[in-house]
Amino acid sequence: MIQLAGLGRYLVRRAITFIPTIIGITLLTFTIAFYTPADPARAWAGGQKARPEVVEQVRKMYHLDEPFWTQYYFFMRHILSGSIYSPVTHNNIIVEWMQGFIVTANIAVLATFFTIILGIPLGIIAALRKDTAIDNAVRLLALIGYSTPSFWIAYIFVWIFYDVLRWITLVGVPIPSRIITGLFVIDAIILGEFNILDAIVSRLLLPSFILAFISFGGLARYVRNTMLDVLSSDYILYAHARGLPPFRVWKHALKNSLIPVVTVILFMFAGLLSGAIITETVFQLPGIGYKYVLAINNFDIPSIILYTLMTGLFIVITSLLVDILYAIIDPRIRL
Amino acid sequence: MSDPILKVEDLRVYFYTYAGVVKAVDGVSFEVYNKEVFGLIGETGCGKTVTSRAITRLIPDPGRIESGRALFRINSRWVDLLKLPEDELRKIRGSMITYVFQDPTSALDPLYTAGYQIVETILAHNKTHPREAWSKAIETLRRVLIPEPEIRARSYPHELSGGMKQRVVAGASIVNEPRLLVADEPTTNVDVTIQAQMIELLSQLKNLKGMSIILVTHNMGLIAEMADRVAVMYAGKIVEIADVNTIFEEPLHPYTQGLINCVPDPTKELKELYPIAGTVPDLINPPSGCRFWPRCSRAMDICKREAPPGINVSEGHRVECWLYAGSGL
Ligand SMILES: Nc1ncnc2c1ncn2[C@@H]1O[C@H](COP(=O)(O)OP(=O)(O)OP(=O)(O)O)[C@@H](O)[C@H]1O
Ligand code: SF4
Ligand SMILES: [Mg+2]
Repeated sequence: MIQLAGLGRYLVRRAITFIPTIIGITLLTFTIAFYTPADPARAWAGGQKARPEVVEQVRKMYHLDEPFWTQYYFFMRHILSGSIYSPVTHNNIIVEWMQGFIVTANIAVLATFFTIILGIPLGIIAALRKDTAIDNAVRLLALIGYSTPSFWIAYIFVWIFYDVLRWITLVGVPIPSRIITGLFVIDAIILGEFNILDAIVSRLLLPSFILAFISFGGLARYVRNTMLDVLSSDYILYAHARGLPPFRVWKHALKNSLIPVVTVILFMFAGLLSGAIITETVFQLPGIGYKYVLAINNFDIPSIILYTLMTGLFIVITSLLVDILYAIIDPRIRL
Repeated sequence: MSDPILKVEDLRVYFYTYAGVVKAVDGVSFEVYNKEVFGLIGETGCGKTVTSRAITRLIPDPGRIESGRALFRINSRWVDLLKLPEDELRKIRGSMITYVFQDPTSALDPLYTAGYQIVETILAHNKTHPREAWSKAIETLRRVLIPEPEIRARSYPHELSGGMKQRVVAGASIVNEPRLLVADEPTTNVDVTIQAQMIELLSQLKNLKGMSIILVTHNMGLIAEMADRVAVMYAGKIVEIADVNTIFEEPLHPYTQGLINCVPDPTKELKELYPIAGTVPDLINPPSGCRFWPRCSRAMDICKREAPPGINVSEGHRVECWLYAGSGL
C-alpha cells in the first residue's frame, strides 16, 4: 500500500512533468494556427467586407502584428489568467468552456454509466461462456459498435425518436434550478424537480446512449480477455488447488482483473470529457465538442488553444489517476 | 507399508490445442502407499505435472481428462476423485490432498500477502477464528524455516525471494495436515542449504503426521535421498516403476538405464547433463509403437510397430519394454 508521504512527493514530481506537456500541446496548436494561411484579424473583424481600420484595431488588440513568441506569450498569459475574450463571441472563453464542459460532462457520465452496466456484465458472461454463441454475440456487438459511424447511428436515432416518435427535443439544455453535484439528473432528483428531470432525460439520454453504444462492445471484449487471462493464470489454479470456495476464487479473479479494466474505463471517460464532436453536433448540444467545431470554423484561436489544452490536461490527469489507482490496488507498484 | 491410499488407473489427459491434440498423459497407472514418498521422475515435458494435477482434476483449458480413475481412500472407503462432484472435491483439495506448485512465483496471487493466502487456505477447510488462523499461519511459516515469520506474513509475494515464496507455498500445503502432499519440484528455487532443510522438513512431516508424498522432480539426487518408490515417465507414459533401490541398482528399461548411467553426481539436475541422444518426442504425433524407439539403442522391429505391454518382472517392479516380454511374473 502507498505511504502518504510517498504520494505527496510523487504528485509534486508528476505535476512538474505536466508543465512541458502542456507547453508542448499549446505550442503545437498555436503553431498550426499561426501558419494557417488566413488572416485572423480580418476573419474576426467580419470577413471580406470588414473595414480596414477595424481589422487593424483587432490586429493590435490581439497582438497579431507581433512576432510568433510574443503572440504565443500573449495568448497563453491571458488564457491561463482567464482574462481573454473570444474575438468571435465576445464572451470570456473560460466561462464559455465551462458552460460547454458541464453539458459534456453530463453526457460523459451518463455514457460511461451505460457503457459500464452493459460492457462489464457482458464481458464477464462472454468470458464464462467462452467460444459459445453468447461469446460470439458479444464479439459481433463489439464489432458493430466499433464500425458504426456515430453520425449515422445518431441520425437514425434522431429520425426515430424525434421525427417519428417525437419522444425527444433538440433545443436548449434543461437544467435544474440549482447546481448541487453538477450532474443534472442527480440534482433534479435531489431537488424533486421531476418535470425537469423528464426533460433532461429526454434531451441527454439518447446522445449518451449513442456514445455508450459505440464503446460498450469494446469494453465487453476487453473485460472478457482480461478475465480469461486472469482465470487461466497459475494463481487461480493454485487457489483451486487449495480448495478455496468459489466466492474466494472470484475475489482473486476480480481484484486482478480490476486494474486493467478500470484503467480502460478511466481513459474512455477522459476521452468523453473532451467532447463528442459528432454526437453533440447532430443533437445540437452546446457541449465542448460542438463548441470546438464552432471555434475552428470561426478561426477562434484563443478558444482552440484553450480547448486543446483542456483535452490534453484531462488525458494527463487521467494517467496520473490511473497511476495512483495502481499504487493503491497493486502492492508491486511504488510511486 | 503396502497399503495404498491412492490408486491411479489408466489416466489419460489430452490438450486440445490449435496445433493438434497433445497427448500429455496417455495411460498412466500407479499406486501411492501410506506414509511413503513416491518419486515421479522424467525429463521436461513428459507429463509429470499434468499427471500429478489430474488426480484432483486441476487441468485447465484446453485440457481434458479423457479416461481413468483416481481412487483415493477416505476412512477405508474408496472414492473416485475423477467422478466426485466439484464441491466435494473442493473439500479434499487443500486439506487432504495438497500441492506445492512447481512455480511459486506465479502460484501466489501478487495482490495478497503471504500470510493472507495461508489464512485463506486454513479458513477454507476449518471453522477457525481469523485471528487464530493468522497465528497458525505464522506458526506454519516458522515451520517451513522462514526467518521472522511475523514480518514475512505481511509481505507481498514480490517482496519475497524465490526460495522464500517456495516455502510459503510449502507452508500452505502443510497447514491443513494433508494425507497426500504433491511436491512439484519443491527444491528448484532454493539454495543447497535450504534444500537440505526442506528435505529434512518433508521427512519429518512424513514420519510425524503419517502423510504420503508424491515427489515430482528432475533431480535424481533428490529421488535417491527421499523416495521409497519411483516411477519413471517418458512421453506421457510410466515406462518403469519400482522401489528406489531397484531403480538405481537394476534398472531395466533402456531409458531408466540411460538416466542412471549419466548421474555421476546425484546432486546435479538431469536437465543439464542429459545423456540420451535425441529429443523428447512430439506429443501430438508420438512415435508409433514404443515412444522411446527413435532414441533407443536396443530397439527391435516390433518396438516400432506395437506399444510394449506393462510387464511385472517381479513384485512391485513393472516395466513397459519389449525386451522383457515373456519374462514377467
Ligand atoms: N495448458 C496446456 N496447453 C497445452 N499443452 C499443455 C498444457 N499444459 C501442459 N501441456 C503439455 O503437456 C505436456 C506435459 O507437461 P507437464 O507440465 O506435465 O510436463 P513436466 O513433466 O511437468 O515438465 P517439467 O519438468 O518441465 O515441469 C507438455 O508437452 C506440455 O506441452
Ligand atoms: S520397447 Fe523397444 S524401443 Fe522401447 S525401450 Fe524397449 S527396446 Fe527400446
Ligand atoms: Mg512440471
